Amino acid sequence: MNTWIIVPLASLVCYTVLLGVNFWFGQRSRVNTSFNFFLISMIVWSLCSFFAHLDHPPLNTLLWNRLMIIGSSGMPLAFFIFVQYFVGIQRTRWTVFGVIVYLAIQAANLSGLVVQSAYVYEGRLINSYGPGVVLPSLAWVLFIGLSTWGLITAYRGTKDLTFRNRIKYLLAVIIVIFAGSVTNATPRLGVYPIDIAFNIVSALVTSYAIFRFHLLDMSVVLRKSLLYSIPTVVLGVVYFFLFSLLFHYLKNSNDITIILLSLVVATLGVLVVQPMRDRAQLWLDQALFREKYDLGMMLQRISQTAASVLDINDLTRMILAEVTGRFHLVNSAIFLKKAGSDNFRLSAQTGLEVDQNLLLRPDHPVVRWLEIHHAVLSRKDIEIHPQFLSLLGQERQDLEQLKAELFVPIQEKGTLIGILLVGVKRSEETFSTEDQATLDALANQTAVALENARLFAEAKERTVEMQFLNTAIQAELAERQRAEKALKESEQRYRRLAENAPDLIYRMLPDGRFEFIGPAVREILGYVPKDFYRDPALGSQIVFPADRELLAQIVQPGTVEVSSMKEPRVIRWVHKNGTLVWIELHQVPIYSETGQLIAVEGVARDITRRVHDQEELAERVRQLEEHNREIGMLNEMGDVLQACRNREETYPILSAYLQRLFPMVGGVVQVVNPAKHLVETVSAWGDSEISVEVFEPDRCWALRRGRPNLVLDQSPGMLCSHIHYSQVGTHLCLPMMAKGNALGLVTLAFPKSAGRMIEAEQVFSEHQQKLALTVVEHIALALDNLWLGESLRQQAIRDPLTNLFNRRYMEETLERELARSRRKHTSLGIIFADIDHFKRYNDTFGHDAGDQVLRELGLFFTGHIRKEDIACRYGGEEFVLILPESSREAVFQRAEELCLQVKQLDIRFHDQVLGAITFSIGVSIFPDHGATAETLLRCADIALYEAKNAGRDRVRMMDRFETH
Amino acid sequence: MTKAAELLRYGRKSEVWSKYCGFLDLEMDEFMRIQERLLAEQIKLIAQSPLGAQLFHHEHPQTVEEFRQIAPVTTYEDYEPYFAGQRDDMLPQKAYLWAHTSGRSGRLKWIPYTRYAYQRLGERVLAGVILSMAREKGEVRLEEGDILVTNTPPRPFISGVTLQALAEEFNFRFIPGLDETESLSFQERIQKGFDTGLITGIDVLGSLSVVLVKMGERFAEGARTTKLSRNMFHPWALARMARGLLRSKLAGRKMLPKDLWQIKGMPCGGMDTSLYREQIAHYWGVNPYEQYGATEEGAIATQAWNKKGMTFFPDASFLEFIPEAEWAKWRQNPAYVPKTVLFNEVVSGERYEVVVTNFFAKPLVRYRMHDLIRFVGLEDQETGIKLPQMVFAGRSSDFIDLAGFTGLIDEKLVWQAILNSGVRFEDWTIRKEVSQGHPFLHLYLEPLESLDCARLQNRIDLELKKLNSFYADYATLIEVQPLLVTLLSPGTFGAYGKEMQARGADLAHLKPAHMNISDDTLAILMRPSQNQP
Repeated sequence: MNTWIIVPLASLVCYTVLLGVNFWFGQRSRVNTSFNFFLISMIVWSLCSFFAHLDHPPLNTLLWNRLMIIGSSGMPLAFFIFVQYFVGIQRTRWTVFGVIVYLAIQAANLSGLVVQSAYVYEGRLINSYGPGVVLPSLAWVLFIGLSTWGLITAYRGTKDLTFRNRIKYLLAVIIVIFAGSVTNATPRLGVYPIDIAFNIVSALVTSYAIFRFHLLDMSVVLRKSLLYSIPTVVLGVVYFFLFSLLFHYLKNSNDITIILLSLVVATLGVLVVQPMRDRAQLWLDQALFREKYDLGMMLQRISQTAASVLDINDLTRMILAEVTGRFHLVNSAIFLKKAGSDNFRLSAQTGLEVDQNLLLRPDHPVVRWLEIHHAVLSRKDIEIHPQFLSLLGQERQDLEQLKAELFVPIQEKGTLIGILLVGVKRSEETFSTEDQATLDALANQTAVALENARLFAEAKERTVEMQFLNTAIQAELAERQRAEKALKESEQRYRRLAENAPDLIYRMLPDGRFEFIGPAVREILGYVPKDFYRDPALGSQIVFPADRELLAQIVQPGTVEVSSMKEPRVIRWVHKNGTLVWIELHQVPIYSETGQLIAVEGVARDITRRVHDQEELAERVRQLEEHNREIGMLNEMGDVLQACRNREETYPILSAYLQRLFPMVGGVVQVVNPAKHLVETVSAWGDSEISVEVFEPDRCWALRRGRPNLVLDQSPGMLCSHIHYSQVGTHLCLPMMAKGNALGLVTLAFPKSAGRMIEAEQVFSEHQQKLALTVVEHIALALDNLWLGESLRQQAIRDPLTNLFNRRYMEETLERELARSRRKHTSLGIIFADIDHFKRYNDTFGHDAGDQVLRELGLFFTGHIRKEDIACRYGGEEFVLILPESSREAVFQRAEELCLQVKQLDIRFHDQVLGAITFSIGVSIFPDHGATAETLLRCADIALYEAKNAGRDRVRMMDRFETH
Repeated sequence: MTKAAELLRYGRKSEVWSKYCGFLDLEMDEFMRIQERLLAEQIKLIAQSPLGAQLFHHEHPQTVEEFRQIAPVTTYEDYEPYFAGQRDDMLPQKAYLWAHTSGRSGRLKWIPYTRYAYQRLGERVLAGVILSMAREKGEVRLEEGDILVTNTPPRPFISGVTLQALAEEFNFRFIPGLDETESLSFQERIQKGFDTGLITGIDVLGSLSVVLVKMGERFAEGARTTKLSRNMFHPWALARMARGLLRSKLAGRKMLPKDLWQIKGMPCGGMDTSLYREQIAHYWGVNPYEQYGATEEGAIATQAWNKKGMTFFPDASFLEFIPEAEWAKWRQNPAYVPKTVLFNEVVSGERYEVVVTNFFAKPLVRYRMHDLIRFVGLEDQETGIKLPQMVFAGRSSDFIDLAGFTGLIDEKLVWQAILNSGVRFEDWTIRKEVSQGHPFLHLYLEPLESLDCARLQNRIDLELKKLNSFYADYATLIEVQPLLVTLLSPGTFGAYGKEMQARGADLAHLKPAHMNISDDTLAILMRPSQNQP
């Protein structure tokens, strides 16, 4: 059994597991997919190597060896593609070229130009290569070289330390691959699958670099490796020489000696190993990791000197100088918490051009983050953590100006006292974890010193403040002395003022006694101050009885809430001469330093005259308002009456307004009828029945005299006989006079009741009578205008003789009715009537008789038409009737009925019978005979003439309308 | 500012997640702190502008409460006099660009974006793409050069502006290209996207849900989805089709889109996305992802990796919500000014109308979005998100108040009822009508198969009763089925679209609204001779 097959077998298992893990658990990304290709090529390589070393049918070793080339020559290309995706640089042409080369290699391989013979001898794979082997070798060099170049380029192109670290791992992988491949070039090693074993390491390292984000820092790994290996090597060498020497000089020593010697050497070794390792670390850091060494020294220096510096400015400058120098920074700054506030103020800075008063407020997201997390915050953190979504525009600009890469919290006992802002490095490289740890340590080490310096600075500031305060107190003392003197002078001045003031000034003790009362009390109340000092109760005794309770509330400080004293109060007092005096009190409670009430000081002013003036003024205002209200209502009533269309509309309005104007009384409105011989009630209000409904004008004194007539309940004067005196007491009759004519009467009356005598007098005061007269004049004028308007309107549309509508009104109405019929799709009838032989009446009985005939016909038509029909005198003895919404048959029938009924009229003139009258009637119908008024009237006229021609006393209608 | 591509290049995927999706880990007080700080800044900015002076009545609110007392709740009408003419002089900052959308009324709504607001919009949209790809917390499957196929409207529609912002945030490969898409019609965009996608593959597919379902259905029926083109004979396309065919044969079914493309993320648009979730997942092999957004603000809320409830972005806008009761009062009396609650005052299970105040010097103040949302929980235990989760309930104008007490019939409810009935349809629209004094729902539906209208009506009625108890109560009360279904003849909605296109309507108006269409719109739909109500 060939033991070397374990290597390809192990690698096969390893690659398969990696492929499975990457396939099932890895993300489906281009990097992972390309890495899968790399693994597949390795699997092919391992599998074929396994079978080649197995040397077992069905396939022979040579064939397996050739198949192995498929995998091994694919690996560099797969790795190249993987590196391209890994570093994000696309070299598509090289990839295509690689595929072509790969295919060429396989062609050469399968044609036997690469591996010419292969067999296994004593477990080793012995093969001989043909000239074609140059092709895969060159391809290997080319694509591994390109991969290396790609990684180096990416390394140089990025400042991201994590990414650089990752690239370092891949470069290490290449070194491993290279080392493995070199064994193939060595004839003695090439026969073993050592390269495959190396490739296992490379695949594992690559997987680690892909799957893990936070990789071990390659530099740390290297440093630690060196740190442990150097002392080990040194010790090993020392041991070797020691033991060589001992064996050389102590050849004959026994075992015990050797054991003792070993113990001594081991003890010495234990004793020196730690110092040696420390020294080795120092040398290593000095030689290979200079930066770290310098940082360590810096920390040491700062921690030694910081504590001794008490000046905050010196300290911050020193820290910034060290940090800037050691890290080769472009800029840096320190913010420290401001005394007496939570804001962080820019304390010191280098390399920045910013406002020196720049503040970071306590709600600034950076401050909040540092207070919560107590860890270094990077600019990148600000970009990615969602808490910083709350950064405001101005805050972003400030941060841009500060150019900070790191924000290092300076904490003292867990409280954030400052922030160290670390700017960009001159090399533009990012800060490593180690850098951040150093800065964090620096902040921690300097925190106490900074806090001490800050407190020292605060103390200095306070001392200055104290000195300033001391000076201020001295000045204040002097000022107080001056004030006391001024106070005394002021007191004297005020005493003089109080004694000579027209108002009464007093000071009262909590028990109600007056400590001081001004001499004005004599003028105001007739008493002298001594009266009050002798008799403390005098003040309350001379108060108007109704106001004593109020006085007790406001002038006895022991019994009431002092807050109520401050409001001015008005109290009535009785003067020594017995008159009532109105006094307004203004008081101020006076307290001791302990808050106890010690007195009440006040001013009492005689406002009796002012009160009387105010009462009078209020009454006048009330009257004025009442008057305004009445005038307003009067105007309103006038407007409403003017808007009325006829008399009937006015009556309820009159009663409504009169009721509002004279709410205390009932009333009635009565108008003289057109014949002027009767007065009729048209509207009434109130509980009592005031007047008879209808009476002759002579029964009212007011109408008879044309003037208002006031009758008092208890002292009757000129009594009107139309009044129901059983129910009515005091009343006022007001005639409605217009242009000397009495149009009617308004009666305002108080119900009969003995107990309401005073009220009745108030109601009918002089002002009320004047108002009533004005109102009635308004009403009379409005009614007269209305009647005049009605009369004129009737004259305009009525024929004065027949009282039927005139021709103009008929023409307007006909147009309107036709429009309505069109809208409603109804028919309309026109009856055109003409009195037969009317001229004979005139000729026989005279024109007056003719007029009588026409008057009678007016009445006839009015009594024989429907409400909606319109009867008009067309002219002379011609009449037109408009019958809306009437059918052809109905109109015709109606016309025939009129013909019959008119004959039955018994018309007389001066007791002379004028004889029967007949009509000739023409009828036309809308829409049968036309659509316009003109056409319809013409048709009716033509039909009328047909009736005339046919012998009169008949009705005719056109069959159809012919236009000519 | 470090962008996603740079972080990805250095393998910093966890930082990509933190930068774009880290807000999902915020606690409520952190969320509110962000809101309040950005609002304070916004108040200062806007108060200095002529528009702000008008809105604040020349006052300067100092706190959130003062702001809510002084600033009125606004609608687009308050801004239209200045925005219609794209006036910069009224704004807190000069607009970097103006985006527009078309409202229901057909009027264009123009909204200004500042440079910074536009940049932040790009970040939020990229967050959406990352979340659409993620299957678990922290998973970033985004890669440079990912193929993004989309068929949404181009600039200056907000969808186009959004894609432009996304392009500036991350180097996707857009298919069709953003410049190219502006000259293509909707159909052409779809055709071009999938046609090219056959060659390139598709990593992210942004589309209307209904388009995806229709495509899936045609695949399932074995129909050809796209016209033959030269691209289909491209070696990669042939290889893709061969692989798809092989996969479908192995699965023992007809080829589906998921056999052709291994899509990583699928941001979907449309109210119907949640309804079609399973179908889309079946056809495309990936769960659809939704964001809530509008022209006024871009992306406002997003689903997480579980593609369920949506979480508001803390830095999109200051959020207020009108509770449904207040909203109802306003509906009854349009003069009523509804009261609002803040994000930390919302109640789970309640519906609210969204009111936003822009950040970053954009001008809208307490702006009513007229969108109703429903909070489904104050946190999401499945994802561990400790912020209220919401779902979109519909446009406030898209609700039908059937008889005052029926609760509100919304688009999603009707859609669900139609889907549950099993009918295959082209499209539908519903509105409230009145017959014999009783209001009822009238559904106009264009079926894809011949069916018995009465039976369909009964089925949908039954589903509505199951889904909405108020509807069932109303039906019992009036003792008549409160639903009438009218089947529209085949091609009705297509003909409507063509007519609208001929009239010059934009994309948003090529289809009638699903809810509450006007008499005029109904008349056009009923125009084909065979359509009888």
